[in-house]
Amino acid sequence: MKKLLSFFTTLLILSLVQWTQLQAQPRFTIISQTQEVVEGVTHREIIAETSESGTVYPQVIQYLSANPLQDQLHVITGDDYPALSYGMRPLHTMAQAVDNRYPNYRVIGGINGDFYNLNSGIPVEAYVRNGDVVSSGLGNNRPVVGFKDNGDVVFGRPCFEGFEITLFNEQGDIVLQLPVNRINRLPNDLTDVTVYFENFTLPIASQLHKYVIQGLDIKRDAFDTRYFGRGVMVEMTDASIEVPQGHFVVVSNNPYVEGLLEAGTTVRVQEKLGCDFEGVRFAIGAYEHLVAGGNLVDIVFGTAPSARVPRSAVGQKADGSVFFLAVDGRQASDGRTGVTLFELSEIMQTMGAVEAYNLDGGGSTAMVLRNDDTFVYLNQPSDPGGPRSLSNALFFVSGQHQSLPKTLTVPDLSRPLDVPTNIRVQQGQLIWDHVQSNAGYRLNINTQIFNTRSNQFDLSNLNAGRYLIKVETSGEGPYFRDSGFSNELEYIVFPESYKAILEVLRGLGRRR
Amino acid sequence: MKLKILAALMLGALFLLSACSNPCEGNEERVNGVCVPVLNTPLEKALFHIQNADNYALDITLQLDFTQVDLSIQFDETRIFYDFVDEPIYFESSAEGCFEYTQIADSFVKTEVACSASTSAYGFYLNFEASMFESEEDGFRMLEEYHTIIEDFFSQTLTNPNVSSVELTLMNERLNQLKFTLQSEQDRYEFTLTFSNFDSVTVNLPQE
Repeated sequence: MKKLLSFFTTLLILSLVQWTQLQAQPRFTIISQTQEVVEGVTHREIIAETSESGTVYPQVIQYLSANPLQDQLHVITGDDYPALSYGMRPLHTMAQAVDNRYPNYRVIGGINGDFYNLNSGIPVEAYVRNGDVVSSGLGNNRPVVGFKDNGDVVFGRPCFEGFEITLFNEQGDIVLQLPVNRINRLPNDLTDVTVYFENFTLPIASQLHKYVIQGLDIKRDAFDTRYFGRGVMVEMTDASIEVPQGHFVVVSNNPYVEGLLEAGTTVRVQEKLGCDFEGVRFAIGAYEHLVAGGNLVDIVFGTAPSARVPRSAVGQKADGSVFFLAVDGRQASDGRTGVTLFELSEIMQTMGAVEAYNLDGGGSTAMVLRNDDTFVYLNQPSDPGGPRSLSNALFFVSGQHQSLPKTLTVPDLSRPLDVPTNIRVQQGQLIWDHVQSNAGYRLNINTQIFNTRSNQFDLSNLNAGRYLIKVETSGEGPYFRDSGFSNELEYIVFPESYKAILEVLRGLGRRR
Repeated sequence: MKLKILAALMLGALFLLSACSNPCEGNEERVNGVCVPVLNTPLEKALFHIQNADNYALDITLQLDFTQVDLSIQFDETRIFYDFVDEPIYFESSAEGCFEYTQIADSFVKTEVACSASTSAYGFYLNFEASMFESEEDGFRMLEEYHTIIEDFFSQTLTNPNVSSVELTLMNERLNQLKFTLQSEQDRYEFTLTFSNFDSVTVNLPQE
C-alpha cells in the first residue's frame, strides 16, 4: 500500500514539474505585420510578443526573404575591407561598397554577419567572398553558411585542405593551381611552392626563384597563421630579398610556376575549402545551430544564453528560400525588448526555417534595404552612437553571377629526369647512381619491364642467359617525367657448369 | 798379319759396344743416339710436336647458346698466363716452388700454391695419338671411342660430360685447331682451341 502511495506521489511530482516547465517556456505570438516587396525581396516588419514565465515581452522583428532557386536573386557575402587589411564599416556603408564592387550585382538588402574582433574587424569564422577564401577563421570550429551559384545553401563546418596558389590569365581563367607547401619557409625541394608574407621580416635566401606579387588584397589574421593574398606579379629575381611592403613573394623552382608565372599574371593564395564547401562562391561564419530539419536542436531552454538582447539569424525554408531575421532589443521603452537565444530559435522555426543559424547580435544587429540609391535601416540598431561598424554581412542581390573561372589545360612543362648513370652489376645486384626527384625506376630486361623504388635490382635469380638491360628514371605527377632509357648494359648469366669448366681449364699446363 | 789382328780386335770391340746399347722399338728410330718415334705423317709430327712444346699460345672459344666467351692461355716454359675474363692469373714454377699471381683491384697478389693442379689437368690433348683419328677432307676426326680422353679431363669438375664431334686441323705440321662439343646436363658448349705463336710467347710476371 505504501509502495502504491509512493508511486502515485512520484507521478504527481513529475507532472507538476512538467506543467511548471510548460508554463515557463516562452511563447512567440505575432500581433501584426506589414509586408513590402522591394525588387523581389520580401520585407516584413513583425510586431510580436514573446512570453516567458508569465511575463510578456514586446518585440519588433525585421524579416527579409528571397528564393535563390526561383528568382533572379542571390545571397552573397560582403565587406568593405581595405586592400591590405581587415576593417569595419556600418552596414549601410558596406552595402553601398558591395554594390559598387560588383557591376553584375545590385544589392537590395542585407543583414549583419559573423562575429568579429571589435579592434581589427577579423571575422571569427571562415569568410568566402566571390570564391576568395579571405579568411579560414580563427579556429573556433563554428559553423559556416555557404551559398553556391545554383542556389544551394550549405550549412556546416568546412574543412581546409591546405593552402593553394592559383594563377589567372588576363581573362580571369585559371592557368595553374598548385598546393602551397609552406608559408614563410623555404621550399623543401624543387617542386615545392612556398609563399612569404610581410610578417616574415628576414631576407629570403638567394638562388631560389622569387616572384614578387604586388598585393591587391592581402589578409592576415592576428596570429599570423591564416593568410589570403591576391595580387599581380611584378618582378622575378633569384637575389636575396625581403618581402616589400604591400606585397607577398612566391618562392619556387617548380617548372610550372617557372613556365606560367609571368609579369602581369594575377596570383591568388588561399586555403582550399573542402567538406561540402567546394564550389561555394560566398560563405560566412555563424554560430549556434538554431533549427535543424525543422526542429530546435542546439538551443535548449534554460541552458542557452538567456540574455534578452537584439539578435539576428539566417535561415532556409523547405522551398529553398533564404530569410534574414533581425530582432531589435535593449530599447524596451520603444517596444523592442530583445530575445533570448531560445526565443530566437522558436521565432526562426515559427517563420518556417528548416535550417537556421545565429549570427552576430547585440549592437551588431542590423538590417538594411535599398531605397533608390541608398540603403536604409529597417531595424533600430541598439548602440547609442548609431549603427555599429561590422566586419562582414549577408546581402540579397539581383543580377547574374560572374562565370566561374575556367580551368585551362595546363601545358606539359614537366622536366625529364636524369637518365640513370654508372649502371653496373655487383655481386648479382644491378646498381646505378641515385637520381634526384625520382618516383622510382623502370628496368627493361630483354624487353620485360620491372619497376623498383630503389636504385638497385636483384639479378641473382636470373637464369643462365644473355640479358640486355636498360634503366630509366620514373617521373611522377606533373613536375617530372620519365627520363628515357639508358644505354643497354649486356649482362651474361653463366650456368654453373661454366665455372667448373674455367676451373679445369685453369689447370692446363701445370705439370703433375 | 799384325794389321789383320788389330782390325779383327777393333771389329770385335765394335760388336761388343754395339751389343751394350739398347735397341729402339719397332716404331722408333735412333736419332743422335736417342730413340724417337718414326714420324711418318703430318699428324704424327704435329702431335709429337705439341707433346714437347712449352712455348705457345692457346686461344679457347666457348660458344654457348646465348653468348661466346674468349679465353687465352700463354705458355712460356715455366710461366703461364691464364687470360680469363675478369680473372687473369699468372702461374710460375721455379726451384723455390710454384706461385700464382691473382688480381685484386688494380694489383696482383702472389701466393704459393701446389705445383700440380688440383685437377689432373695437364693438357688432355697431349694424350692424343694419331691412331685415334681418322682423316677427313679438311682435317681429322677423333674416333668416338677415344672421346673419353676429353671427357675424363672435364669430368674432374663436371657431372657426366659428353663429348662429340672432335675435329682437328693442322697447319705446317703443327696443331692448328681442335673443335669439339661438350654437353654437361642441359648446358652445351662448342669448344674451339686454337694453337699459335709456337716458340714466340713471352710471359712477363706482374709486379706485386
